Amino acid sequence: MTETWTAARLALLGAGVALVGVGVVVGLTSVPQGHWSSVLLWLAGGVAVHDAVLAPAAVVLGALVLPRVPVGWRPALRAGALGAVVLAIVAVVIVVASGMRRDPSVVPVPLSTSLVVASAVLVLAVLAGAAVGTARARPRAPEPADPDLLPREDAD
Amino acid sequence: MARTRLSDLRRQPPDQADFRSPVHDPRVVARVGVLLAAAIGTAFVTGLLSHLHQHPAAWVPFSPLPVWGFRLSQGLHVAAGLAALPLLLAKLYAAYPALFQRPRLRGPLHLLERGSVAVLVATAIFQVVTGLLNIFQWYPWSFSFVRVHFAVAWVLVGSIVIHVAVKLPTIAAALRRPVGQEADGEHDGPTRRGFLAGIAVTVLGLTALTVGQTVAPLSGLAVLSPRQSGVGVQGVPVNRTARGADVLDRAIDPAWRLSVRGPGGTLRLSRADLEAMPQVTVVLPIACVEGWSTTATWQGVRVADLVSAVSGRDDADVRFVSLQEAGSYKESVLPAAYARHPDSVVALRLGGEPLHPDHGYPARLIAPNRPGVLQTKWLDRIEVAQA
Repeated sequence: MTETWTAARLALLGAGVALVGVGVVVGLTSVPQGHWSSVLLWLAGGVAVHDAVLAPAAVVLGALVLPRVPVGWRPALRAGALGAVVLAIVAVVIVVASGMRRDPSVVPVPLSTSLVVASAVLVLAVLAGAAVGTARARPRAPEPADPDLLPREDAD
Repeated sequence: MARTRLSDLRRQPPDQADFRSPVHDPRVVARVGVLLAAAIGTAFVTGLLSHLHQHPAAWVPFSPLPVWGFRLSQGLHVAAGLAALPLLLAKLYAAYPALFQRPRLRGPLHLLERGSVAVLVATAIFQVVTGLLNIFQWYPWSFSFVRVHFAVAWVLVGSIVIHVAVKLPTIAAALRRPVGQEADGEHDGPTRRGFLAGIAVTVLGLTALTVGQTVAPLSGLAVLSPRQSGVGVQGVPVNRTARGADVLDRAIDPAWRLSVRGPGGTLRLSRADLEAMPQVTVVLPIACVEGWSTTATWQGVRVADLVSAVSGRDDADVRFVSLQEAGSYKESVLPAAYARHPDSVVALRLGGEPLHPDHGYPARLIAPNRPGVLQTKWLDRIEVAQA
């Protein structure tokens, strides 16, 4: 915030404020007043669940697990945790949606198939990532000597 | 990397400096931020297109061509929104220590900056979560999804623009620096690169397991999406069923007649009357606002033929009214440019068979480049405007 505010930055700031203003006006005029509390609850609830549950859990899990595994596994496990959270969120929605569908074309794949396939993809991706990470973490072999300095076979 | 024990974790809130992972770095935050902004920007633009399809404005004349236009834009909308889920989680994780910065507040400007970030985070999570639940038709709230998702989209994009304006020098400097430098620890660069690669793989994986709801060749892979392209009665997914719309009895009643009203009077046509008119076959996608789409073969009577049968002009908009008595989509207006297009059809058959009641029997509208909710099912009457 100490850097100079150029005209371009100020214009960007003004545009952002204007866009937020459009959203507020559209919301206030199109959403009935009786619905506002539900909207605010969902706006605040998402932040609360993320900041107080998901993010601390991820930080603590990382601090406890990652130092205890080989270096090559760490990126794959970190990404695997991201994939697992995404899969868990989608899985909750799929399970609920399959319980209340109005037509068989909604969630057409049996839950056992979809969740097992998705979990298997996740585990395979983590294993592949760990293999790549382990190969990269291995100490490099010494560089081969410069070929120009080696005796040439076709030399006279 | 120092080992941490559970007992090391303090009870009081941590300090920004307590987060020691090299992932919590402006270079990572800025790079993930660019990807997240691209996903949200795509969702915003395609969302506006969908909004304008449903709330036409005189200054945006939509054309029936390309026929796959809405299929592409809405498929992108949902794919970008789904991609935003891992990107948002990764961005918030990388930037999470900033939540604990000290001093908490340095003055009114700092308060505004932190406030705008709070709005940004709240609206971003809100849009991703409500969008995800909507495509699965789960509405555990008491507001109109469409209206609120539209209004909050503007607040989200506006707060992103504010955030970029505030952080521009930091972002520019962070993007110019490589993620691993001489001054960093031995594993810092690889850790950051590994984190970014992991995010990319997660986004690609989620996309691969969902995009088959609109990309037919990947349909079988779409185990995490609410629909699979081509899967449903007569090979097409169903959103609202005839029973759900409370029209089943009237739809299969042999006394059903389609009334067509125009400047030349009103026709009342039975299904046999419609079948006796010149039939056309069109191959058109049906593309839902929920992101799924399927190409299908439809047969029926050209809208243009019905319009001229009641002496309507070819520059007149045409209103399609359903047997459905309640709901936001019980009628739609087909703009004149669409009504005179030869692919706009009052469909009687789908895939060679009479329409299934869940697909709009006895007759439905199918037209190119148009949201599925506007392809009115269970037609009761058609009104040609007096141009």
